[in-house]
Order: sequence, then structure tokens, then C-alpha cells
Amino acid sequence: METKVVLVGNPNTGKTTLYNRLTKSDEHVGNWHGVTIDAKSKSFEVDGQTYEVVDLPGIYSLTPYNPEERVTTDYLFHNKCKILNICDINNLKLNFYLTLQLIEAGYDVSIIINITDKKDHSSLINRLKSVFKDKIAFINVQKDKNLHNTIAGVLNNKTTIQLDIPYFSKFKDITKIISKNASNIKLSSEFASIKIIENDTEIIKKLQLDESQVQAIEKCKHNLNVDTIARLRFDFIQSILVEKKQYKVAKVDKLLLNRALGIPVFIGILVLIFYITFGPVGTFLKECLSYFIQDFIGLNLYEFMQANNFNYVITDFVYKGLICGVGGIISFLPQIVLLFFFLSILEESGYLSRLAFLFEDLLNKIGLSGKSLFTLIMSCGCSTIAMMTARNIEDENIKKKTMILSTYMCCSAKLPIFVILTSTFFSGNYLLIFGLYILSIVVSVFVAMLMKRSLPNKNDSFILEFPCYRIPTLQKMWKFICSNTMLFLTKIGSVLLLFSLIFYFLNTYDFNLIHIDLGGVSIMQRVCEVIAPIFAPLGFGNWGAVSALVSGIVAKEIIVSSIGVINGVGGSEIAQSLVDTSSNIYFDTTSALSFMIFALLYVPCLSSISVMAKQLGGALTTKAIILQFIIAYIVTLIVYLGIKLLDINFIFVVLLFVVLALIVTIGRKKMSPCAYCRKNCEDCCIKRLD
Amino acid sequence: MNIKEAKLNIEYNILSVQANNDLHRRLSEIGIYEGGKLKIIRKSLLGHTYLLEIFGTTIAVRSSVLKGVELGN
Repeated sequence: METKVVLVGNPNTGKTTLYNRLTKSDEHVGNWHGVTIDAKSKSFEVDGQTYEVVDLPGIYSLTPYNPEERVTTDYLFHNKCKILNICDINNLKLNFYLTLQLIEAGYDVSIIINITDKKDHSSLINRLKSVFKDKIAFINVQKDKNLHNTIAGVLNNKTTIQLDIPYFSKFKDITKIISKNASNIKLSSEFASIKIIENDTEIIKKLQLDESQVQAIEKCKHNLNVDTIARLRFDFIQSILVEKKQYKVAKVDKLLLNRALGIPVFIGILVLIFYITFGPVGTFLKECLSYFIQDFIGLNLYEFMQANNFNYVITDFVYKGLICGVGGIISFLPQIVLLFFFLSILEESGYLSRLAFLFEDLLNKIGLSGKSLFTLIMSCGCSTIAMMTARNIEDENIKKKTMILSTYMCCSAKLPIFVILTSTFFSGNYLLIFGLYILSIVVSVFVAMLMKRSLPNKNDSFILEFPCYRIPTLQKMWKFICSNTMLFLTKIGSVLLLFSLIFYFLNTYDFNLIHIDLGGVSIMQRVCEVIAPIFAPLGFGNWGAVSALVSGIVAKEIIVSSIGVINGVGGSEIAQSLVDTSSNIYFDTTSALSFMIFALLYVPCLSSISVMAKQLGGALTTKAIILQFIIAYIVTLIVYLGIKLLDINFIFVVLLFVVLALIVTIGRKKMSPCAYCRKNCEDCCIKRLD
Repeated sequence: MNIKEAKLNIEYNILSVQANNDLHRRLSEIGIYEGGKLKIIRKSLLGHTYLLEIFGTTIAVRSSVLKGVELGN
């Protein structure tokens, strides 16, 4: 028979790491809160016994505060199963607050203490063993070699944790009143009593108390409230732990969280990442792969097919569709891998949480939260995946705004087009790509301010526990890079290959299905010639550029493959074809810049749109996409006309003034609504106290 | 005293907590409750977010959340 085991614990205690090791899975693990957003389950076997393990999002208590916590609490209330409560040895006082609630609620709890450091914890371990007997185990979740047997041993122990909880006596009167109601919903009456005192409306509703019971309970409450419950629980936990943990500020935090230096240091780190990714290192690796795929494999294959008289249509598709199109995207793999390498360091080290604190004030001014920063930084990799991380934001409107803004960020799929155009028209100046990232941030700030009124913040409470700094392990970084790279390659092998085939067909055949080499005009050209005049004011009103943008709606990577297909070239020839005015897609320096800006900001890809529609609803998604297109058009138009009509230095000064004006405007705004009265008051709590 | 008047790196006793029900419960779960102790170890750029030390753990909390927290020595 299969034993169901649920992994429960505070966020970032090692639940998913344990899940991965027990079930040999590869679920994403990160050193910040809210990585797990849904329930996942898989089985493992020890000595013929099968265990089904369920990994759930982290919680602080059995009363949910956001949708992810609700996933866990709902699961626990509807499934009576064995619980593996994972606690971090360096954070036991806070972690045991949840353990205590699980024991109060009557669950079959086994405790796993994750020893993440090399300190000597022997006295604490002995003390905990004497309290929790055989229902507690001490392991290093990441490294323990005997993990399966240890877990099976704890789970198979038939005893239950017997804690003499001293404060239960304080609720005995209420317990008597509600005992029947509590047993009806299979809840321990002591735990239900505590939840009544804590005024947990959901449990009170489930208990279905009648009027007389409510009145009787009111008489029994005396001075009991949320604070007394917390004090009683924490005092009891302290009596178990005995020793008090001493806090030490990490030396690196003195620099990274410094009020004056914190943000400049972060910008410095970003510049370094960009220099390595798009500077000499990234470019060299890209060119090596490009030569290997296109000039070595591609051309040899093409010549082989020609020499052996392969069918013309197949040879043409292999050269234009595959080698020029799909091959063109694969050559950007080294730079994308480098970007994911640095993102994995940011995520694994624990720096992301510090950044959330550092930017909380600024983001709050524009109606976002410090927690939005996780999503926005992760969307530099892939906005579709990053959008899912926004689910751990408590405020529904901040969550929506964060998801919308993540599509404005410069994701890795947009990099190939920037790299090609920058190397062709701007001597490969990586600072221009950095400038595009900055532009996407400035536009996002502007859009966030636009949305501030239509999507006002409802819950202003930013609470975030800091994880300890960790040196990123090679294994975890490798997993992070591999999973994201595989996603990129799978996309190329499935969606991109399919759409490259479709776009190859649309670009190569006319409406009578005759190859355009025989003198016709392609289907894509016919359609895009109708749309192209709309983009003429932006400087790229030729049908080829518009066709590339249309194909980019499916996935941004396709823009480069489309250029290859439309211009009928591959490899290093793509860049050369863009300056040739006889090509279907060609640019001058100004139109290349405006094309990059438009490609940066215009509508998100199909996979992002589908996630948005699922999370935000169809109406809001449609509005967001239309707004994004209009903003992309206006920003591109301003930059293009500005450069054409005025001096570029003048434009730079104007943009600088706009940024300064934005900063001043944001700075002059009053503080956002307070958590109590929901108004812009400064001293409502003092009034309440009066 | 109000949290705004509190100085850095000094451990204060929490005298009272005034907040709506959900927030009050969440604050108590992370160790901010009447009778507890806290220490502000850092303030953010504009001073609207505090880095607190509670039970040896670091927690970042927005100042508006802590408006109803009264501290004493």
C-alpha cells in the first residue's frame, strides 16, 4: 500500500530539495521565498514500501495569507495524511511556530531538521531528541547519503509526538463549548479554540457555531487575543530550544544593503554581467558556434544536397528555412547560457531578497512591491516563466501589474536581434544593449505609474524573510542553466521549427502556391505590404521588417530566423544583408535603432499571452497588449523622429530630463495607503490608540 | 514610542500591536507581538522599509505595516 507524505514547512527550508532527492526529480529550487507555487507529487520506494511525496508551497501558519499558502492549507484540511515538517536548524524558533500548530491541529507530524551548516549543534540535537523522541531526524537535505532510509524510519515510527502543551489549559472552557463542532470538521478542539481567539474567520465559519455558543465563547475569552497566543507559543518554543540564537550581520550585507552604495553596487554588477555576456567573451563564443553550425555543418550539408541532386524544394527549405532560420537562432546559445549562468548566481546566492529590500521603497512609489523585483529580474531570462513567480505577491493588483510589466522587460529571446543589429550598425557596442535594458526599465516605470490608478494597491504589507547567503553550488547552477537552455532548445525544436516552416512557406510561395523564384510575390509580402505603411513613420516601413515583427509574435526568437529566410541568407551573411538596400529587410543606423526599440517593447510572445490570459483574464490581457503596442509605437516614434529631426545629443538631454522629471514626480507623491485605514494618513494608528 | 522614533541596533520591547485582524495574526507569526522584542538593524534608501532582527532572523518589513507597533525600552 502506498503511504502519502506531505512536505510542509516555512518557505525556503529545503522542502523542494528534499522532494527532488527523494523522488529523483528536477523541480526548480531557489534561495528565496515563494519558489514553489503549486502542489507536486511523485513516489519513491524503500524496502518494498512505496511513499507518495507531495511538495507544497511554504507557509508560516495554517491560516493562509496569499494564494500559494492557500494551496497548502486547503490541501492539509482536505487530506489527512502523514506530514514531514521540514525545519532549518538556524531558524528553529520561527519554524517551530508552524510545527506547534500542526501538532495542535492533531496531524501525524514527523520533523526533519535540515542542518545546512558545519557548526556543532550537538547540545541542541540532544535536547530536541529528548522532546520529540523518534519522530525527529537530523539530516543535511542536500548531501545526506542515507536520506531515503532516514525518512522511511521516521515515517514508519508508529508513535506520535506527545507534547505537554501548557497553554491548552487556558482554552479549556472554549474547548468544551466547541468540541462537537470541531470533531465534525475533523479538527482538534484545542486548535479550533486557538483559531477562534485568533479570529480566523474561515475556521469559525467551518465550525458553524450557533448564537448561544458565540455568546458563551465571548464570556470565556477573558484577555486572550492574537498577542497572547503568539506569546504562549513562542515562550513554549523557547522552553524547548533553551539557547537563544545570536544574530550576526553578514559582512557583505554592510556593502550590499548600504543606503548610499547598495544600488550603485547592483548597477555595477549588472554592467559586469552585460560586459561578459555581450562583450568579448560572449561574442567570441557566439561566433565560434555560428561558424560551426552555419559555415561548417550548414554549408557542407547544402553543398552535399546540391551535389547529390536532392529535390529543389527540400534543398531550398533546408538552406533557407533550417540553416538560415533555425540555425541562426541556435548560434546565440552561448550568450543565453551566460545570461542564465549569472541569473542562477543571483538567485542561488540569496542576493535577490536583499534587492527586494533595497528597491522596496522605490517600487512602492510606483505601485509595485519589492517582491515584484524577483519577477522582473527573472523575466530577463524568460517572461513566461517569470510571470509564474509573481503568484507569491499578496496583493492581487500588484501581482497583475507585475505580470504585465514583466512583458516589457528584455527577455533572452530578444537578444539575438539586438546582437545582430548592434554588431552591424553600432560596431557591436554592448553598451547600446545595456541602454535598451535601461529603456525597458524606464518604460516599465512609466507604465506602472499609468496603471497606479486603474489598479490601485489593496494590501500594502511588505514582509519578507531574508535567506542566508549561500555559495551557489555547481550542481544547482548546472541544473538551472540546463533546464532553461533545454527549454530554449525545445522551443526551437518544436514551436520555432514549426513556425519557421510555416513562415518559410508564406515567404516562398505566392497565393497560387507557385515558388516565388518563378516570378511571383509571396503570400507574406502581399499581406505585409498592406500593414507596412503603419510602420513607415518609425523608419522601417518595408514589408520584410514588418513580416519579421509579425512572426515575432509567435516567439521573439523567430524574428532573426525570419530575417534569414526573407533575405535568403544565413550565418554572418544575415548581418551583411541588412545593410544591402536590395534586400527585403534592410535598415540604416536610425531605422535599425527604432526597429530594436519596437522589437523590445511591442506585444509579448504567444506563450506569455496565454499565461497572462490564464492569470489576468481575457479582458485585462487584451487591454495590456493594446497598451503595450501603443506605447511601443509612441516611444519608437519619439526616438526615431527625434534623431531624424534633431541632434542625437539633444535627444539624450531630453530623455535625461524626462527621467529626472519622473524621479521628482515619484518623489513628491505622498506615501501609499497605510495598512490599517487604507487612506493616505500618517498617524492613523495613533488616532486608533487614542 | 513609534517605530519611526526607534534607533538602529537597539533591542526594544514591543508594548502593543494595533492592526487589522489578518495583519495582526501575520505579524504575530513572525514574532512581532505584544511582549516580544525586536531590533532594527537597517533602514532602506528612503527609510520606509526596515530590516528587523527577530529571534536571530532577519525580516524586511514595510514601515506602514509597523505603524501600529508601539515600542519601549
